[in-house]
Amino acid sequence: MNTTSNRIILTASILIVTGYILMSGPESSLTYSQSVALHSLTHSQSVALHSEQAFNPEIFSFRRIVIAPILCLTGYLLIIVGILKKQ
Amino acid sequence: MMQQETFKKLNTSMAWLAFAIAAIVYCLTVEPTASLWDCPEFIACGYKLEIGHPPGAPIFMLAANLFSHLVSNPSQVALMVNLLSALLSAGCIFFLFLTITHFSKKVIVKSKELDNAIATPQVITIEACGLVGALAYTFSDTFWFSAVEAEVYAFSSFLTALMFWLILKWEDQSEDRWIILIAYITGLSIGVHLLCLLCLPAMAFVVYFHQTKHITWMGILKTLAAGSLLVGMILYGLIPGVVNIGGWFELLFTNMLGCPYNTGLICYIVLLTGTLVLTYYKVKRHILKLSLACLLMILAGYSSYGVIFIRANAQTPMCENAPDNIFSLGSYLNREQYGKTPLFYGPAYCSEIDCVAEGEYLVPRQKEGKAVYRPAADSTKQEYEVVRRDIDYLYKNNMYFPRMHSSRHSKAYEDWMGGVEKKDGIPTEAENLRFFLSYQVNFMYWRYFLWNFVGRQNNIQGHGEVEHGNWITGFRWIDDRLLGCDTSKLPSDLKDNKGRNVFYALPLLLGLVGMLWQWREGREGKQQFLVVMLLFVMTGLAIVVYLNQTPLQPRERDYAYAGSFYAFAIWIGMGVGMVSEKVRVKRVKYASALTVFTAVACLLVPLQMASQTWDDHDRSGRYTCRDFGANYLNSLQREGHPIILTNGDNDTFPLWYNHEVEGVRTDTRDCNLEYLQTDWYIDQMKRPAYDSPALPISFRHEDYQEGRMEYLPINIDSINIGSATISLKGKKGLYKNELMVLEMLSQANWERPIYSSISMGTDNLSFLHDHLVLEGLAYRISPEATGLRVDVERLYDNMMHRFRYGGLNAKGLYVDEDVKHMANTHQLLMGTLIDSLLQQNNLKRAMAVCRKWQQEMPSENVPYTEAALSMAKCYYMTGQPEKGDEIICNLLQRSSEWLSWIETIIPSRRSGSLYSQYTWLKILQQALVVAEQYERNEIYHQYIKQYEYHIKQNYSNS
Repeated sequence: MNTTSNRIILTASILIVTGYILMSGPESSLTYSQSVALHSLTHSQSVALHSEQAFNPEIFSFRRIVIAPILCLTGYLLIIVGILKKQ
Repeated sequence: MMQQETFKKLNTSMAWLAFAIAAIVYCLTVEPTASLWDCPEFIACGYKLEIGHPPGAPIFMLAANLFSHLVSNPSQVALMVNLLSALLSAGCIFFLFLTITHFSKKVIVKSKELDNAIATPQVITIEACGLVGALAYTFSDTFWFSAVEAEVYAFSSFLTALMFWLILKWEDQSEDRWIILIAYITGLSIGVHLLCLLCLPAMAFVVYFHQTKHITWMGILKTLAAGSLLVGMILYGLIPGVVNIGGWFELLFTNMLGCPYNTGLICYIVLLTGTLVLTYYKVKRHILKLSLACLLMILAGYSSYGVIFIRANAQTPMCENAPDNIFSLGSYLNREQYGKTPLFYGPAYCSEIDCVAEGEYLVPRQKEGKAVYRPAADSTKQEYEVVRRDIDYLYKNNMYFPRMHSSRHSKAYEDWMGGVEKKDGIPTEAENLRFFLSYQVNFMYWRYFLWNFVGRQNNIQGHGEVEHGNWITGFRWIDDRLLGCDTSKLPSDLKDNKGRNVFYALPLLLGLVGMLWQWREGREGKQQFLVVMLLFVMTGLAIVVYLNQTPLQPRERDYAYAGSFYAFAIWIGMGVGMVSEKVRVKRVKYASALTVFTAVACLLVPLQMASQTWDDHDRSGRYTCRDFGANYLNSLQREGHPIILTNGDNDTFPLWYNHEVEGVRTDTRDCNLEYLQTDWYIDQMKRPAYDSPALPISFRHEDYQEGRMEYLPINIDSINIGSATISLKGKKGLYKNELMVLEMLSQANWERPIYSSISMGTDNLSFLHDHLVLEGLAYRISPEATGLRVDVERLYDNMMHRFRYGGLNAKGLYVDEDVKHMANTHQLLMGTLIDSLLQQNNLKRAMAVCRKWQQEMPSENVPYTEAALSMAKCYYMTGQPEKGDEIICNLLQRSSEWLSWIETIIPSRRSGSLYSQYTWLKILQQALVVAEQYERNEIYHQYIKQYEYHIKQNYSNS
């Protein structure tokens, strides 16, 4: 493999890693205090849910399920370009 | 004459033409929303990056995710993911065309002329080979089925075709980059479906033939061994190995050094990548460098499992097996949920576990396997604990190549075989092989193969009966003999079944001719033949051996063998070459004209296939899966965050789809009883999801952790929940899932409604049967034990106002067997509702239900069943006898057709049809009772004679 192709593969790898970093974040259920802080829910709203925890819709945020996977996919496809690049 | 350059251009354009035809066909027939089985799950996985069933498909998820974002309306997401399949399938056809023309060109144009111009007849023949083969595959049953729904099989077919074409590309150019790309695609394919790995041995053959001057049988055998070894190394070495070693690092860093979770994992990934990259730059030998590059690229593709790991850590509402740590990821990848299947040596279904006396008791002998680690149940601790050890029981008698292995299927094996001859308590090796050949090879492979290239009887799932899902030719004199019945007397239900496709074996013949021709065309041809044959066997019969299937599969399994049908399509294409050659040799003078003539004649073969398969693959206008899933959810009351207990695939995945993708009734929660037996699912149920609060389970994780509370012996007769008493009479113990249901009921204390899906079956939760109240597609579990009741008000409101019927009233809609079953469930509900309304003397409402039925599920799309008799009664009671007669006559006519035909089946094969016979006899009888009750004398007298005749026939036979 030549240097251009290596550079492309390196870029692709960085894209993939960035994608995975952007995909990460807090999990789907938060305790009272976390959810009050995050979504500025009033205490009564949380209590109304009759549970100790609240669902955190942030796991489906634009960053985590749109930008991140598109970066990863671009990275995986770019590797193909890198491999095929002729000297 | 045509120059090489021009030929290349023409060939590529023709490949794009094949692509375009396939793409248009698939886009026209694609299902506009989710399909049944795993599709709704896959769509949710792609759209919201949630975790589906093991071993997961991260690359599919990423691609589906991209497609799902091309539309803004969530109701269009399913269509987009289906279109991904359609386009990938068309891509597969593109590479199939190029593969066939690569082969046929080498056979047709002799190697010494390769650099010269190609004669026009030769060009026409080559292109005809490509087009006929590619289109035959386009219109074949199995491939088309996967092409129009959101499953991984279209993607995996595409990758297989791509990989196979890449090795041919390498054969032409001998550049390393093609090999490296194949390695990378192999890595990616782990993230789609492991089927793709099976084309590696065929590739090894291509490499061997290309690199070696003197080909010997020994060399061929060695290549075969090397190719199989490669697949084995990836499947059993690399895929689990990389994760297992990751586990060691985690144990070292977390348990011994006290680092936080996943520190070891990150170090491991950095270390592994670093070492491999450095070694790659250090080594000088070409072969080593290439191997390392390939290994790196496989791992790069495999790294897509990062999606699974990261999203599992986000604890998505749908997160099967919770692969959120390296150890459960390992179990997920190894599909441990499905259990082990012995391949070469192991117990038979009737083998006894070996026991030793230990004091007064007999204790089974067992071998302890590896330890199973999970993060500590106590979340304040950061360490992994051994939750259990794998246990293998030791059996008294094992056998080689055990084909009848599953003790749960004892009766099914004996039924299939008509009795099994045993020696020392296990089947003899001859009986074992008889099962292998008659069931696994013939019934579960060749039958599917012949569906695709000879003809298919109908779309009803077969378990060996004369009337269900056999292969047929279309020639009566052959089919009568094959099936052992008189096919001219076929009931209209079967005759008009859209899944009935006959190709008169033309594609098979063309394929066989292609095989013969390829084999006889010199050294090049023989080599090609071996390569394609290996692909055919590896993706067909080898899978049969590997899967080791039991009878009574939940659905037809033809989709698993699409790869071998692909290989056969190559031969169909080659067949054109032989036909063309034979025709041309006779009259050299009109060579071009004759070639064109042959090409057109051969093109009729795939066109004839399309004329047969179109109507049973055209899923346009069908919204049944989406609507029926929503109907389950809309059966639940509006207040109190209801919970619905479900059991199978088709009453769970469509509900998930509605929750996750379309956001329907997110105040409700689906709880699958099968998964409720596992600790990870209970964990998830204890979390809130969308607007549904956590399910009322007070147990802590350490109480129900894997290995604990699996089965609890009880010695009580009943339990009290609030003021209600639930009887547990006759129950010796409770499984974990039953215990959890009781726990939820008692914690909910009748304040949060809990429902049980109508498709649950009577075996499940039998202790609740007296508490069920029918409200729609679900029963509410009520505190009063009054026996099964119908809540007429709610059922009426649901069926009339809340339910949707998936476009079942559209003319010409394709209603396959699974959709029909679900529609029948709705009809059964309507029948029950009409009966209840008639009992209340509410004729007006009963009539309204009849109108709804006729309007939403007309009989030309969903034929009447005995449930329609309730509707007939309603018509008679409201003074519309002609409408009632129409239903009664329809049922009488169809049952008499069925019964007359079943009586033509030869006695030795009739036992499989006894159930159909019984069902139709019952329908005939019930319809006659209604006819008599409402004094439809003419009809009654017309059919009573027939009934008596069939009853007599039935008794004389049994």
